[in-house]
Amino acid sequence: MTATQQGRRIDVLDGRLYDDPWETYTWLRERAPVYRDEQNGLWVVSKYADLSHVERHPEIWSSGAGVRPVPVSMSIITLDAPEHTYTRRLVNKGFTPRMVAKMESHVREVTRGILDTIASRGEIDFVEDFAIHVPLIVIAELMGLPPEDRHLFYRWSDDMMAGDNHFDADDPVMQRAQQAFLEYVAYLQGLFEEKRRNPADDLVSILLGVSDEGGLVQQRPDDTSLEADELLMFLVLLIVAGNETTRNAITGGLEAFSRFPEQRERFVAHLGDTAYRDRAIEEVLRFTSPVISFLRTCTQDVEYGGVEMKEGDKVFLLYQSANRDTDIYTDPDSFDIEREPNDHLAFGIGPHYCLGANLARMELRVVFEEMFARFPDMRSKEPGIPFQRGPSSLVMSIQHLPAVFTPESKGSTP
Amino acid sequence: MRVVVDWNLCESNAVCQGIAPEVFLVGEDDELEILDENPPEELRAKLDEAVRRCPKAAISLEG
Repeated sequence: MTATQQGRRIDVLDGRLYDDPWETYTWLRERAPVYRDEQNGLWVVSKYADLSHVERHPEIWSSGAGVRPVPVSMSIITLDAPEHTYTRRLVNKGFTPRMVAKMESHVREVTRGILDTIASRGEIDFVEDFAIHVPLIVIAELMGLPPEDRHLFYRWSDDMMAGDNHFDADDPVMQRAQQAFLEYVAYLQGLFEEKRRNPADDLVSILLGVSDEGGLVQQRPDDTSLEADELLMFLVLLIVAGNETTRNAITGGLEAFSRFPEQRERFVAHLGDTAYRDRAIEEVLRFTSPVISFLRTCTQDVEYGGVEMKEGDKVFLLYQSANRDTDIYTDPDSFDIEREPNDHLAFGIGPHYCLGANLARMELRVVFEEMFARFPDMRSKEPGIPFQRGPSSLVMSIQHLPAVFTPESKGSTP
Repeated sequence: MRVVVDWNLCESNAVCQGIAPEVFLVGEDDELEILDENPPEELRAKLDEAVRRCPKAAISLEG
């Protein structure tokens, strides 16, 4: 089947597509669930069952050849078993529900501190004044980076992320991405000496220790460039994945609560009901799905979804679309915090299921609970208008969101 | 019916325990323990759900 036979030409790597992708997703699911994007040479998977099937069968659809259209070795997300299993094990015990629960009261304190900084303002840029902070502080603390340097991590992380799907070294976006990477590497290398002298219970210390003993799997053993350094790439992955995603779920969640104000009222009315809150957070995750896409590579010829995929073919997975599939969800474009069941694919499924899912859930619980407890009318200033977002086909990348709320009068105690 | 866990995949997310506490227990050491490897047939619906909802797709049923 060709794109024209399918009736529509869609460039899934055009980041601007995702400014308002919903009608395109619906068309794909209904008309071409395994769509051929000829221009980019990709099979595009948009339905829940298909995305789940592909992720559950890594022996057929592999991550080892990269998970982005321009492949970059990126530690655990571009490894297959058994190397994937081994490398992920180095850190996964820190992300279990039990370990994450231990951090909750601290994250609550951190969140309250950020809310203090906006309390008297009444009007903010929700992204820069609020949503970025908690995820950056939490991942910095877990990694053992000084949280007060988070404005640096924010810029580096955004600039590196923007480099996704760029490959021309003269491209200004690519140059900024490269610059950010080099600055982050220099920063880390400055920190490594201190961590070697005084190793702590943090991810940099742990991974540095393993790396110094030669214990990290080399994906590109003959390549001596910084981009092939497994320790550095693991630390790039952690800082980016640990803040970009949750930040966009927080911002996207506020927009959803603003566009569906009766849902905000319900949430506020049920503050203190943890089961109600947990279910609401799953709907925030389904509805926002901050990760737009990842990619897999066929390890063999395979017939699937009515098409013949060849060994080496690339398969592009659309998470937001899967989470709006009418085969699974009634009225999927409605934000309904009482939705049940709600086994969304915002974190993926299978071996590459988001390592930080439990952490992200906890951050979202705490952030929405604390925020709405203190500012129950926090809302987007102009609900329903398209997000101001970066042109990414990887993450939502919401740059700004003007928000308003009833401020606390100066001098009053919260 | 036999419950099989791929120990290379399991990350103790404890979703299975929430669905079928008769069969799955994640202990204080964050290790999953199978309480009943050959559970009775009346648990099949729950176990099917655990298979489907395990985020790591680490559980399967034989027989």
